[in-house]
Amino acid sequence: MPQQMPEGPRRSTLSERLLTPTRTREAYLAGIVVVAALLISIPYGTFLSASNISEIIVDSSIIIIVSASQAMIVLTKQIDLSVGSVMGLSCMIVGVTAANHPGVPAIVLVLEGAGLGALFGLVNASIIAGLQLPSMIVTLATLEIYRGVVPAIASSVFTYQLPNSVLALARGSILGIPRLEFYALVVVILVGYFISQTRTGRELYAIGSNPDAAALTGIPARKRTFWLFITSGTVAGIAGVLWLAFYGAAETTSALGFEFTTVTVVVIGGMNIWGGSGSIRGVILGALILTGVTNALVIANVSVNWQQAVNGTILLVAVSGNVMLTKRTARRLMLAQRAREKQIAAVS
Amino acid sequence: MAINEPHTETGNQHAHLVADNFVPPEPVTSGKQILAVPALSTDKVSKSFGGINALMEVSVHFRSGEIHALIGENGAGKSTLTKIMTGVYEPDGGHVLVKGQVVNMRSPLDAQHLGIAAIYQDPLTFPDLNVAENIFMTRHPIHSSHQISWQSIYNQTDILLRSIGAKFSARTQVSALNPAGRQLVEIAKAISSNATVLLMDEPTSSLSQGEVTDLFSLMRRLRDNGVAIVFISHRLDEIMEVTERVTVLRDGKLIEEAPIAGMTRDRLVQMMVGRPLSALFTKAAAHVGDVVVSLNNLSQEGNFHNITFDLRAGEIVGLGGLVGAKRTEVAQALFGIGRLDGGTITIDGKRVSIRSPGGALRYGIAYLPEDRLVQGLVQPISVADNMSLPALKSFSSHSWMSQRKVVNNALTWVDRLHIRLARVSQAARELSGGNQQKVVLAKWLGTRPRIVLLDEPTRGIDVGTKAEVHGLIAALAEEGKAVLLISSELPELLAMSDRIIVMREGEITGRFTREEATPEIVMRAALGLAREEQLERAD
Repeated sequence: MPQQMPEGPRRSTLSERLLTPTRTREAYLAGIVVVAALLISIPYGTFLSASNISEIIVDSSIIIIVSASQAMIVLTKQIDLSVGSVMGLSCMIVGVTAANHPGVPAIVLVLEGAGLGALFGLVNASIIAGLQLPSMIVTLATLEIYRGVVPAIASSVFTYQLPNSVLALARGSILGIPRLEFYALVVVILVGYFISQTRTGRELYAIGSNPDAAALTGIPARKRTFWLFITSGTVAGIAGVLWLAFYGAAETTSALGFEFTTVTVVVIGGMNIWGGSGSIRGVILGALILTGVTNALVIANVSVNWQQAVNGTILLVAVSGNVMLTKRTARRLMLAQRAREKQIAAVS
Repeated sequence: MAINEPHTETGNQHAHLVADNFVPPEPVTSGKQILAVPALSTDKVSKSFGGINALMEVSVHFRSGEIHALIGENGAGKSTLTKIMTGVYEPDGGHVLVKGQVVNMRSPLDAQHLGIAAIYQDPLTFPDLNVAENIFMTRHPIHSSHQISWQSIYNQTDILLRSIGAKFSARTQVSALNPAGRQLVEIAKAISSNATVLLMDEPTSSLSQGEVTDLFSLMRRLRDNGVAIVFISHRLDEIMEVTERVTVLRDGKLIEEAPIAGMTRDRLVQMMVGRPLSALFTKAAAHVGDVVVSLNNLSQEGNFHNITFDLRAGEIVGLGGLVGAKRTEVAQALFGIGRLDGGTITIDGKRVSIRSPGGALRYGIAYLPEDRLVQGLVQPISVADNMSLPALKSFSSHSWMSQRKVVNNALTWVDRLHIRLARVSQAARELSGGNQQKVVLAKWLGTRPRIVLLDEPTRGIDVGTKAEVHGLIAALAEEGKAVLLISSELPELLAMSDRIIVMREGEITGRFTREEATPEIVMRAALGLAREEQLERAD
């Protein structure tokens, strides 16, 4: 294939196809994952054992599911801080249902969680899209409200003895893939397809990249925001049921601080916190990094107290690293374009 | 449908946009030949904002296959007209017609559906996305499964880009493009959506000479393909070069629509400025004192360069120019906003360095910003508090504000400037535009400045208050203050200034005494036509 064809408008170059800013970021991330894993495995050989790796992947499954919907929200310059509380509340209410009515089939419980989540999401969506208020404040408020309701429900019943039908939701495997991982895979494929292969999905990028231009192009940003927050609530509601099944109990602290986890994952994954760029592959890598670090700290016998500090540090490093990388890539693209223009001018 | 209706498609597709009270247009006849119905026209559209008439019964006609210049001074109504034709504003009276049919546009999207595309000075693009997606956003070609066909989107984009001679590819990220490239993306978008009317607002202002040439040949090709192009520009040379007809607006009224052939620059200038100079404040002769502040070769990267002039005590210096002349930037640089890349400022003969508005205040400089709603007033707080803001120290003792001092100060100014309000504790936003402007004046005069920079002090205020503000400005000069008056209204500039300096695209293009200045001379300088003569005179 001729590389130099500076005649009139040029074809896309190979580097343009492969080294989009998003892909560059993902390549860096993947590199970090590999190097970090190797470094950790030098003193702690068990880190790279098959059983430990599969544990990391299972542990990251619920994180990936909720982060995927968080990613769509961050893409449009919004944020949903209530996901942890929605999960906790859904986990508790469904837990109480399951404990009181052991005969209820698991699918009904999942639908209950989804319905509850959709309802909580609807509250967020109506206020944010309806009153045009900043999602950061609205969901900060509902984070407190939803979490605040959990103990009131918890006090009435003992939620540690759950029917096997519930526990089975997180055990065993489908098509040879552990169930939780299978769910995460389905979500990743659906969200990935939606944001990269459909018009509506691409519009989310447009909204985040330039809201004014999006409005002039006729993209209904408010409608999109509305449905995104309902989706986020629904996903968090279902994730609450998965949490119940995975940990076998509903507690007042279930999924506490999960909003932080999802935002961290999304940011580590290279999603621009100001919207407009990012990918589902980044989300997967981000979730693996965060879970991997947690796992490594446990193997290294680091006190749990340090966990939060480490997570916070990762978030800071990810945010600043992202900004620097974005600037560098933007500069690189700009220079490459100038060089090509010169080349074309020189020939013609 | 009748055969001789070229607009059936638009009419059918967006029938809801066509008003119920549709009146068939009168056929335009000229001699033997029946002229084509204009692609876009207006019929006596009017628009006013808060009692100020921005447009009065303006009828314009833009035809297919024609590049049509729309010119006028700042505030002549060009941008209001553009916004009405692109669905941003709805007219108060009159109609917009697309291919002879009255249309009701409620949003820019309606305009797009009717085939009207607008390209702004600063194109509205999605920087994070590539060129292809910018062009096809919401209209991505899709498979029957609703999946986007990337093959098709990239192929179509490459063909489009080739046809307009773009030097980038479908996959180039838009953030990597310069303004000319982003403009091309917008043009490609307009072409791909089958736009029949292209409104271009100052499209050449950020382009290099070569890029302008390329743009013009593209415009001509689009014209030959039957697109109606409206070209809004202050550059008369470019208008003479690329357009075929010209429509001149002045003070919200249509002055003339004429072919460009046989038109001269002087005639255009005359049409843009020719208005009677009656009913304006005339100031008394100035008692000019010593030089207070000197600007020597001030430069600011990308904005202005080699700006040199003095301000003297008791003198009003008018700073004239059109949009993009960068007059505000010069005034703000003197007020410590924006970094300087070269040149010096001296005050009372001593070289000074002004790095912030606080520093400017210490040298006795006050600046009345152009946009008082955003920069000049804290809207929700009271008139009295607004007036005390720049000089809080003088109203406080031991860090505690004295409400009594604040209120007394406000009452003094209300009296002196005849500000009409219910109480000084009223929120600033409740006042009328003219009275708000007076509050801003009071706010800065309270700092007892020696140098007063006024940026469009009478924009958007009614005639009566305008005269009062003019009286105040004259009084400031009589008190011995050095006044710099930025104004886009030629009559105001001519009536108020002892000396007039004219800028164009960041350079001084004319200096005139009160006696020398006529509307034509100042406008010629603002359009860059008089530079050679001026340079000769300076030697």
